[in-house]
Amino acid sequence: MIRLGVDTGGTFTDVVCYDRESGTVRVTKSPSTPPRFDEGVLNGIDKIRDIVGFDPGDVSYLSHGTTVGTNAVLENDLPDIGLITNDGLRDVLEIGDQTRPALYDLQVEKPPSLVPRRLRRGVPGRLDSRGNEVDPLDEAAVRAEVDHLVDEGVESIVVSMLFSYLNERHERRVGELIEAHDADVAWTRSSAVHPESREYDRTITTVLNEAVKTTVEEYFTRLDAGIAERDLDVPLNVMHSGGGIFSTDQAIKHAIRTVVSGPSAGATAAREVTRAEGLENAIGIDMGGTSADVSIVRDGEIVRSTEGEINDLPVKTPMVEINTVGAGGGSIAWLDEGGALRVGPESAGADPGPVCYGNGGERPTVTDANLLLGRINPSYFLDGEMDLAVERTRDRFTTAIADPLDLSVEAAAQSVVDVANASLAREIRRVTVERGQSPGEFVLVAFGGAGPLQAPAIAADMDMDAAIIPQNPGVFSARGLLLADVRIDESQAYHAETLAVGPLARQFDDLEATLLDRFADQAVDPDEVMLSRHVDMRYEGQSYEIAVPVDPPVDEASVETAVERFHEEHARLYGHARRGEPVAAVTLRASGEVETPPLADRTDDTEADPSKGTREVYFDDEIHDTAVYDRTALSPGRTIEGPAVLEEPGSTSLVPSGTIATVTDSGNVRVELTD
Amino acid sequence: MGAAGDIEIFRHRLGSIVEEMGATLQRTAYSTNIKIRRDHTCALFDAELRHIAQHDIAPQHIGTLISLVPSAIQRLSIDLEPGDGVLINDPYQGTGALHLPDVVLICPLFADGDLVAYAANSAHHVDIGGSSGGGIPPTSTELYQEGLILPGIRAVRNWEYEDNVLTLVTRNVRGTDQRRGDYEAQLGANRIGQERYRSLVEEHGRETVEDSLDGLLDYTERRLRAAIADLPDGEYHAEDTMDGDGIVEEPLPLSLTVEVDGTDITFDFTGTAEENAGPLNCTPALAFAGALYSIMALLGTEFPKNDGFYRPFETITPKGTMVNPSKDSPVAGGAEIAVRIADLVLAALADALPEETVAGGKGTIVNLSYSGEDPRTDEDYVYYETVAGGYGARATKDGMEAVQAHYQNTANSPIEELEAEIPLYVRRYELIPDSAGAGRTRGGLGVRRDMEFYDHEASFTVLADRATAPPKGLFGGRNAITARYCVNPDGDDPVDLGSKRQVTLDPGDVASVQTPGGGGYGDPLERAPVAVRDDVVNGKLSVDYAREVYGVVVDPETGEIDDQATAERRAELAAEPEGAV
Repeated sequence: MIRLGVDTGGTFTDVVCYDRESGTVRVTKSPSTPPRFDEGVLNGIDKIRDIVGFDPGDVSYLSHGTTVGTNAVLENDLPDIGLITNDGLRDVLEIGDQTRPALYDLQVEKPPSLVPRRLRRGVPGRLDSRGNEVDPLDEAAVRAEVDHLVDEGVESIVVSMLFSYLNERHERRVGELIEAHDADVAWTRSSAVHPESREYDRTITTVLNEAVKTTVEEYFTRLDAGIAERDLDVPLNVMHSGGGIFSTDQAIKHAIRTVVSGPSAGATAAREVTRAEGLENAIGIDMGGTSADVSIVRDGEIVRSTEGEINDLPVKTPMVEINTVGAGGGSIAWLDEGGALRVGPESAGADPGPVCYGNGGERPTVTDANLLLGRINPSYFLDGEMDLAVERTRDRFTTAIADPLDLSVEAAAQSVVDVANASLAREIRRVTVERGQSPGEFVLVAFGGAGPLQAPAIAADMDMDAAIIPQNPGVFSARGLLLADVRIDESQAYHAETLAVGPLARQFDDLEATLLDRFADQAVDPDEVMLSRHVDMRYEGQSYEIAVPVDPPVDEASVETAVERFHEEHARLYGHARRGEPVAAVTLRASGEVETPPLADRTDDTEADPSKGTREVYFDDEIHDTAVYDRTALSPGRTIEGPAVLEEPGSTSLVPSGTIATVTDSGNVRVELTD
Repeated sequence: MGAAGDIEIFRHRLGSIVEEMGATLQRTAYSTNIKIRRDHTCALFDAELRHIAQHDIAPQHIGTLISLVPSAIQRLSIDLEPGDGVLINDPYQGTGALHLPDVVLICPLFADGDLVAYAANSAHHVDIGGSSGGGIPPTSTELYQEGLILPGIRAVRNWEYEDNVLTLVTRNVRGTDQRRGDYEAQLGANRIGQERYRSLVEEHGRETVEDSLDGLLDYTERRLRAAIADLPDGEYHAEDTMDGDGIVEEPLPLSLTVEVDGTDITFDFTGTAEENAGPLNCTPALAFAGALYSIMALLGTEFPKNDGFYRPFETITPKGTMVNPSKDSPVAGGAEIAVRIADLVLAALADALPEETVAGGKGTIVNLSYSGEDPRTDEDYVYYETVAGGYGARATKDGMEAVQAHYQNTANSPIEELEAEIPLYVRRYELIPDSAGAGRTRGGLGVRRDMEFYDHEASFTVLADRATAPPKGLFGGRNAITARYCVNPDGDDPVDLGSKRQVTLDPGDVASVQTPGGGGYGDPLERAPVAVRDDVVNGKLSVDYAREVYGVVVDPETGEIDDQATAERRAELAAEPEGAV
């Protein structure tokens, strides 16, 4: 049986293939083919089939990470959509939260409103904050506005009205009137897509969903046809931003969830490593050429949030909490006008790349610094596929950094690495503390081409106990595609004046029924679905919520437990709980998962000699003769004392002096940081 | 730490601490101002009371913190112990503070038994007592009417508020229980600062930390001076008028000369109106913060904010003027002046930096507060918020519609949150057509927010400006329209409020806030006709305005441009003397 994962990026499409019989994972790359990305996906599938030589009938699992929805938003390549909302409030979508995206940037622009003003129409009809009608819906006005929007040629109409998450009657009625129109125009309502409080967030989320739907639908229709042509008799699973997979039908209906789904594969892979190592808490750092994506695993589960954004627009569907830092191997080191050494955010990227690539890069980068410190093997680097201009790198480094700072080249290079690590450490700390975590409670799982070199130093900065470097770190994130569980999330604002068991239980029942319907649409047996329930709670008067789990069955005891969890979590996150204060329930969340079995590609003991001699590597202000190992020849259980360098195709890992690295049973390298 | 990277690494470490403090404060506070509108700032000071780091959210608080923290600590007659905290909001200590609702909590930080630093945060509480809910009385004539004055008292021992003090303080403000939560949130933030700063000192040793701080401050000063050196030397002048002080309705000149001399900058407010009897007074600390915002934005880089940053600046605020009022004058409207100062710096430096600058914008904070008894619950409520306006046009970009001005970048209250909390309906929240100044690039549109207070008598307070002096255009760009604050705008008998008033609304009355647009940039006749047409089609510009000012003739039925009529109209306008429209 074969599992296939295809991950489309801007330049390359990564294909990963797991063969259960041989226990091997194979990886290949083929060029992406914008704007028809489906062709690149199919080319990639053809290529891996040729390499591995499997029979299409043996493929039992196929999953795909795509950026077509993301690109549509980033390029603002969206169809004409109309909006019907409350009279007097049509500009909510353009006003947004009334802030400028950057405080000190006088030339900044607001995020696009997605629907131009002439296509945003208000109609009389109003509900109050308890969902009761204040003014009846003016149906004549609705008909007139639908006529107007149809005349304007909109592809679809979004209906979004105040408090529809409490009472959808007005929105539904507008929909009926749209359907009654001869033009047969598509429509959707905010109470169906994102039934939660806060009108701007709900409206923009609904509009975004509708706007990318067409693009996503066309894309998957073509792709599904291509897959069928190749005799792959397996449903295509789509990676979504929540760190799970769902069917193409679901991906079309909930198109917004395919947006910013790229990094969730890496987070999924990080979760697998965390669990395989018997750990609860980890921070995943996927560091490539230009940036690093930081994700969090807590209590064995990926940390998700509903506070994502794309293009400065809020996206309020559950998504893997990913934060991106502009620090990667290609980040450029420079001296600012005050004489301080800075790293990034500018990157040399892949072209021209670092100086040492010899492709015309003139400005020193983090990768160049690592080369000069002896941490990267000039001949082994990138599997010997590129010639390194070591001398040239040294010259450029000397002129640009070392001489102006009056430092040796090695000391200057060490400083560049330290500065890059400090900015990563700050970001990791920021994203963890904003979520109420303390970084010291985590281990670091570092991957991507550049992550394993920096990992131990960053982990030490964060007071972590260990850094873990998975197998094949350079292509680790694609592995997540083979591991992702089928996952569907549903949410609904809680309706009732106070937190009470009766309404809570009833509303959860409704939510779960909707959720299981969606699984049934994917032909999943409801008995296979693992359900989880959360309530977003807050103290009355607050506007920030904390999601706490509610155990089944939903009754007095489980609600009491959930409220207690809320107090505890509030105290843990914010230093105080207010147990006397009333607690409000804001949003109910139900998630269902069908687990995808883990991969069993553990490394076997090898007979090969891992030792590759020694090399001069700069550590702790001096040059040490440092042992170099072939990572792929290290057997499980092997320990290595730092300083040492572990080399493998596509990545190099560092074991600093004073630390001990162990190859675990799962084949990961765990670097123990002793104080 | 590698020697050369010290500064940068240290900057990140300190930044991390204030960011964590800010995250704690924001997420645990009760006031909407703090938790949603992000109207707060956390900072660190060293043992010598030099400002060393700040969480870059609300820059106006810089002025308050760098003024109040040193003065409060120096005035204390007691030695602070670990776990102590000092509360202060007094605008007449140091060089001043913004206004009373910004409450500052200062805690000494200890490591190995030594006092090594101070953590401080300033947060805008939704109420501070005084004659008007929301802490913004528009007609106060003394500081005492504006609320409770905290002169710098030790209110915290062992990381807990002294119950006596907190009870006294919260008994004097509206919404006692929720305000307690805000005070607790402020303490939680400083406590995080204590833990993190202690580990920094323990990790590196006090001496290394202090050396690094000296290095960081000097480095900041060097970078800033290098950036100032790039500005052309000269004296740059701009002036504007404020509406009146809430007591006397007459225009009040605000005058600023920015002198750039080598690596130094002087802000000279000579020529500014005398201090006001009403609350339109701005402390020197706040005037400086307003000017500094625009300088920070113009210099184009996100510099570290610390003592080194302030060294190149001198501020001249003549005593007895509305930017340096005599003791205990009311200051509730000081931010109105400060935000206009930010406009003035951009206007003054327009000739020096025509590509970087921005035409006049909203230029007013638009403080609003509502209070009354909620008919749904029979409980008292008080609410504070601000409303966006147009942004000024830029050299190559239109001004943004509906954004906050300059250092003010606070978010709005979602209508659904607002209506759940307060007995009102937001009847309109929309852009105002034709409110922007025309130009080659146009200003952004202002906002209209109409609120119907149902089933009860409500107190409605506006403390704003720009009802008489419009946001100015640049280089031939036109001025925007002014603001309007009124009651029952669509009724038979609308009542204009001016810009500083407190009124009682009858049940069902509608309060309407209509904020100014932004000024235009460059000659409107140079604007592409298709851009004008797009605005007409989208109802942002009327057909008449397009014809009268831009000379673009658009058919109201088809939305098409009449090319010939446009050419004729533009020729006609070009022949008219300047300023005819």
